Amino acid sequence: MKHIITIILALTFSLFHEPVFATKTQLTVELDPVRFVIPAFNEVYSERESTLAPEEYELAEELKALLANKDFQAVSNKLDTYYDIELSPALLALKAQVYFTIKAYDKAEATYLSVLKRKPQFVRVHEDLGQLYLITQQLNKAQKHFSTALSLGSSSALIHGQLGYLNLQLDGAFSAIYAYQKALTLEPKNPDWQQGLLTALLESKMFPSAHALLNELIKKHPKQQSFWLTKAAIELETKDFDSALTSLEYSLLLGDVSQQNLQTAVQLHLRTQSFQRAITLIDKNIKENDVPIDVIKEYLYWLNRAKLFSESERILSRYLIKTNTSDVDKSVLSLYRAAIYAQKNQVDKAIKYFNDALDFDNNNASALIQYAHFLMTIKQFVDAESLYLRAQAFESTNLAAMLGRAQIYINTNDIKSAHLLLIDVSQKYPDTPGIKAQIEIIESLVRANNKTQL
Amino acid sequence: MRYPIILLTLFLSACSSTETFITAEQCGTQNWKKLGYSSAMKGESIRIFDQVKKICNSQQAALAQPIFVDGYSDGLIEYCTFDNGFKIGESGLTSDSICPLELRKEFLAGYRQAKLIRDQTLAEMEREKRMRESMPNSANTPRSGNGN
Repeated sequence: MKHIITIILALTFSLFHEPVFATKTQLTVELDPVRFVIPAFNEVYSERESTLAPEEYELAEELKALLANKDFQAVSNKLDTYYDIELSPALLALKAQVYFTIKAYDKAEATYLSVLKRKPQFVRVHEDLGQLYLITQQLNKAQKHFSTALSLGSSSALIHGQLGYLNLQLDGAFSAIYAYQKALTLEPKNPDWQQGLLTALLESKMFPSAHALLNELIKKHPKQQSFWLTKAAIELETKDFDSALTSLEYSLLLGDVSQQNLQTAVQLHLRTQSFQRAITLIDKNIKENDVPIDVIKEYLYWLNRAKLFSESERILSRYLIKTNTSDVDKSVLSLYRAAIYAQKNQVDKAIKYFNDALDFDNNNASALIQYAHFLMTIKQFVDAESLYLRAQAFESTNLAAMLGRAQIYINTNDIKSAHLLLIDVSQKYPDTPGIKAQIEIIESLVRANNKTQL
Repeated sequence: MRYPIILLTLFLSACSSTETFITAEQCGTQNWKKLGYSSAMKGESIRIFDQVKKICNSQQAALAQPIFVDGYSDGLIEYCTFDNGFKIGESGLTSDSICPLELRKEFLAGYRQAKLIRDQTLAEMEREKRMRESMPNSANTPRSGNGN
């Protein structure tokens, strides 16, 4: 008999404890959105790859003086006195640049295009036109001109980097990696390319490379919190929880972190059983943020598991004081309190909070079944059966409730009822592990009882 | 000796500019791209469009200009070639090129090559002429005949 009791209890326990205490919270580190900086247009009026016509030298000198004074409007006016075809591609490109600088984007675009019509391999014009399209959010066109510039031999880090950005936006991270790598090779200290490459690597899920890059960046900028957070995010992805926790702690040292990150740090501490630090961070989190109830449940799960009931109770009290909790959530939290007192064998308090849980939400199936189980352990079988019958009405607790009732019947020597109920269970839930063996044992007990009675 | 045909008839390029380029009535109906193209193919300067600015109203001219220049640019691509430069050089016209810098090199190469040939030919003709003049009887001696 004792053997059967143990097994059915075990079955019951696993069924009705799982929905309440299981922790399914995803561990994530929240990163700031990536800010891609589009560098300001470069006001370098060089002759680039095209030369002036001999008859333009005088004009060029005149323009040079105006440009030195940043008198772009005067340059534009002067160049407007010429038909475009009268200007060499070099001067026409300058005209387009001036339009670009004074934000006359339509004129700049038309002028750049007319330069390219005359000189399709003018690398700098492809670069500049790409920039223009980037600024005006015509990303596909920008991508096309940057690609052309690179294929024509541009070695500008800016263009590689911008193409990396565009590839990331338009074609996915993998196609951006090479462009960012190239940009970073040319300008290893440029934070935009570092960030771009890092993002591309992360989005491509190339975590070892991203991690290696981060380690390098952290060496150079050990006080940059975002690097530590990103490192933690990678380490979480790769399930290296200890390292993730270390990285998160570094980022906490460098300043406040978001609520999500604080929660993740707590969860990691709880998992690694560094409870003291976890409790400090939980207190901080509850004090500073509106913590969702699911997160509180997660905390309680770990603390209760470590039998830190007084801490659980304290956290619950602080949480309830601070928050306007709904009745449904109050019911959940009362159930946690009941579970804490049940564990501490404080029967009266446990019963009070079980009742509270059901008062706040009489459809709390978990409360019904846990309360029933608790009453059964203190041999209040009638009340326990009544609660099991209520719990049986809920799909999530139907099986656990039936098994619980069967257990009550066994405990009260009503073997026949237990037998009938287990047969119902086996018909309704034929895959229930061990059910057939239990029925056979009970049937043999029934037969033995019958013989004894005869 | 046979000489290459040399077009000695000089068509002055300026002649065309004396024609009426556009009338006020045509301002609203003109195919500007076609006009730009044909202007370039005739070797006209882009400044011919200044006439449009004078004759048509400013709004019409402003709208027409980029279209005209676009057609003119297309015309230049065909005009400013080695072959065309050669033809111009062969005809003895001046090299006041309307070709923009990036097309000028090809055009001038053709022009200079033709001009060199033309100059050599002219020099040869001049030399022969002088030789004939230095022989007093030669001018009255029939060149043809059966030698009897």
